Amino acid sequence: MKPARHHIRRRLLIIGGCLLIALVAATASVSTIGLLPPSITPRDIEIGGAATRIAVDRSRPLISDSAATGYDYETLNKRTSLLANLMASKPVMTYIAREAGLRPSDISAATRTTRLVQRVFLEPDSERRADRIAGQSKRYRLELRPSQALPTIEVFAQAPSVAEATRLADAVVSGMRGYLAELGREQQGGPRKQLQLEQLGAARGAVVNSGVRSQIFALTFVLALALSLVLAIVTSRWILGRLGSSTTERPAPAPPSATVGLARPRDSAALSGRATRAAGDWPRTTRMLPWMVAAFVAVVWLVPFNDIQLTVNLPIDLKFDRIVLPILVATWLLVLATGRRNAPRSRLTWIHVAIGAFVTLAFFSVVLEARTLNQTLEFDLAIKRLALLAAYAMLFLVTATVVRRSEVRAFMTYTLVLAVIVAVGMVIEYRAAFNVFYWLSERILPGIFEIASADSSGVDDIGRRFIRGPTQHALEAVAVLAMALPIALTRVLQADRLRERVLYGLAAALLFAAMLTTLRKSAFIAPLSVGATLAYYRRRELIKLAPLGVVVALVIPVVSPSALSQVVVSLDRSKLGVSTVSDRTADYDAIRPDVWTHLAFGRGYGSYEPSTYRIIDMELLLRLLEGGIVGLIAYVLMMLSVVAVARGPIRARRPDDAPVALAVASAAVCMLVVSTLFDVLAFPHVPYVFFWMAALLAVTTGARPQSADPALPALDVASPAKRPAGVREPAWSS
Amino acid sequence: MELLDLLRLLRRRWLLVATGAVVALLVGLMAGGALGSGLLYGAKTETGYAEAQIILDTPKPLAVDLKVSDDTIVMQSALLAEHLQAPEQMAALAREAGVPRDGLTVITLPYVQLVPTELARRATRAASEPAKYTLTVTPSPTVPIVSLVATAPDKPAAARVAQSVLPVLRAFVAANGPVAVRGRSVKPRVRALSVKPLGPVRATEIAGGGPKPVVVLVAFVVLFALWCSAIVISSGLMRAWRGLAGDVPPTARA
Repeated sequence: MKPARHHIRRRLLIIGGCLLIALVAATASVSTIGLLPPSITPRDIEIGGAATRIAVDRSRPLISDSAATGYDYETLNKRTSLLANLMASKPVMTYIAREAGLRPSDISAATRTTRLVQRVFLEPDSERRADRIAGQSKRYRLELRPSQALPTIEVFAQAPSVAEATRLADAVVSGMRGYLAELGREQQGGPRKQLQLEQLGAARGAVVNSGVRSQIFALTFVLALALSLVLAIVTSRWILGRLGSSTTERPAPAPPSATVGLARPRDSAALSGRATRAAGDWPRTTRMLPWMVAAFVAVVWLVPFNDIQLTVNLPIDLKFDRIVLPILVATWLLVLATGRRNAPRSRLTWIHVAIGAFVTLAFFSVVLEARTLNQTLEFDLAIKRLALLAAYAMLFLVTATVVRRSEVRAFMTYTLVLAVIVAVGMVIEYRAAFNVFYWLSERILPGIFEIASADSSGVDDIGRRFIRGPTQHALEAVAVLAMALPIALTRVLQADRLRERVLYGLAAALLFAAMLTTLRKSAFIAPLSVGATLAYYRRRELIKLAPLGVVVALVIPVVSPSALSQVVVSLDRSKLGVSTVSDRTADYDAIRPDVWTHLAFGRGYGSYEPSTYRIIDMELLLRLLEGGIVGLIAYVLMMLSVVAVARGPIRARRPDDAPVALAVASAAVCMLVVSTLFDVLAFPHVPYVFFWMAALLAVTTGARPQSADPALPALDVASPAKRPAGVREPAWSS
Repeated sequence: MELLDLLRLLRRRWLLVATGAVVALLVGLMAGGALGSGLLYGAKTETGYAEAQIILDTPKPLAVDLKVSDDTIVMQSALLAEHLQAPEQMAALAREAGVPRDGLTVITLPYVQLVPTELARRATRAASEPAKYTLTVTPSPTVPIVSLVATAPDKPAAARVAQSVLPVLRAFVAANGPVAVRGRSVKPRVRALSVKPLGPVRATEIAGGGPKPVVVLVAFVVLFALWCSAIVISSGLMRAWRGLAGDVPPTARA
């Protein structure tokens, strides 16, 4: 027993060390740690916010005058806008700072124009953004918003304490009055000619970031613990591997009691075979988890979950998927903890590594910028988006551990069926201006859910209708259907019987027709990327797809009349100057200041709110902004890892896994292409579908002991042959 | 099948499960206010609530005279609503309603909703914290009608707060009415807008607090599920730890 005790002590030491590292890192994130003398001083994280309003009127008030005209108020509103802009200028800031007892250089002030102009004109260009970034580090902030319709100005102040914030907000009126009085004296104008400012009540405020200290602490702790544990496990495995390879002694087999739970000594295929016999493969199985996974995937495909919210008053937005997924994950955890023969198991692949790296970097970028994000009040936003990213990753992890290799084909068929249902729904929406997915959600779900409406007859600013199926945006619908398209196409290539070819061909045609109903240029580009991937890997078999072209040509005009011609027209060179194209190109220059300010790791995952800054129509740019160069590379590698892992099976042309690998590789390429067309991670249907398909590929390739592709060796940890005998691995990576 | 495994495991630890059920029930009863002072819902409370509407009109009523210009009256009614937050008007409201000035808050909802920035959203929320006596004023974006909702500890106080708006606004309009301009024939009084009530003040009492059976049930189910999960996970971890104890690398044995 001595060696075992020594072994336990070593593990305890590692865990203790990791906990200590995490604790120190978390403490340092919210406190200043001094060494000589030893001290822990809490950092100043609290932020006070205050608001007040200012009314502007003439010296002879218009407010109660029935003879006041629209012209009078139009003039007054313009003057109000002018005053609001002056308030943020340096001359007036001197007065305001004096009133607040601060230096003008301590305050960052901005006026947000709210006059009736197109949104695109309000989005900051690179110069204005650079100016705002420069003021971001200041602890005193003022935001002034002249009303769109009334001669009033809203004043919002931020300061390290509530008292200072209210004082700063109150100082705006007195400062502006002082400036106007001085100006009046210089111009020798009487007070009767001047505009009158009235503060509508003293500024009121409160702490506006309560709870952020514990959030930063917890996030840093979790990240530091996870990273240090992973590092410790990898290092110890490497050392054990080196030592193990130098000895020929093989350990005695582990006792049967030790094979349950988080440890699994035997080959997965053998165990999986017995479990298969015992419980059957989905859909002919009594196992609960595959059914739960299937139910969640149905939610992802068919339910407009991002527009469905629980009406219960809670501090977080409870969208429909974020209610369903925790039930699945909790069940998964419990079953994992039972450690029985049906407990989830998986093998580590490069896809796991790539997704893990991307998620870790996302968390790291937020931890790194936590204090800046707290200052700009964007930390909560980043936390919400991180939670969503964790949800995507959890779907991947759960699927990769629950689904068996023998079930992948059935799940791919299931995915195709769901995509075809979405396509049919979109065609109905195109022809009848009726969104069946939103309508059904309203009918089925109980009243505690609030469901947004879908206006299927509305058009955008260049006249395209809002056809979106169960998603929030037409582009989102195009992306998910395009990712399902290769399933149908690979089945057409694989099918031996005519009936199957016709059926899968019709499914592909229907998917393509549904994409075209959105009238987006992306409806051409996304399927094109899928076709190009298939053509690259299956050049010789392409002839089999030739009849499909005829089917598509026949089906599209019947199913979605005039859609094809409209999309083709929009691709014409003369039509590419529309705002949807020019807005995208304008983003490149506008984000430069943000990128250069946080070049390596970005400003923090999920912290860029488009409604506050500008709408970035390209996920890759958003990754560069929020994750820096490292984050962008990790994001691209996530997709490339899928293609890389799929290459082996695709080239091996095994009938059981080659079609799956080809379909998922095409979907990954499609994901990469649509990432250049819009901000895909902001529309959760797309990442959910991508992570789902990536997990199916991970199951397919992970069940084989070694990669068939000599160019891409399997991970050492994935290969039992390379693992030191007797050293077992956790169930999730076995 | 996995469910059976879970149930078997829990059956083996029935004593812990039973203890958890009792604890969850007790906490659920307390959370729902059925036992003790209530963690989430306390004893029954009643809040006074009053609603009223006022209309801003031209000297010749807009409803009967088509010739009267209504260009700006909607804006003016929204501005009047905004002015109710000014210190003088709030003091006058408190005086009229017979409530302490410090305990009264007036919240005017914006006339036009804009996409808020994070600072604007949070600062607005901070400035809109309700007080003991709260008057919420909502100007209509299309007609010169202002809706008032007053809350107070009792019904008469809420009604008084809502009723106090009319005289205060009338006084404000009179004080800020058009002044006589030399050489013009129109008299200021003729040009001044008028503030009129749109129906009587409707007051009621809203019951709050008290036992909430749904909360009891939800709290019980959630706590019991968490307890059972903790049992399953802890036994899994213990088993895994025991497994690790036997997992000795070759070098460690040497």
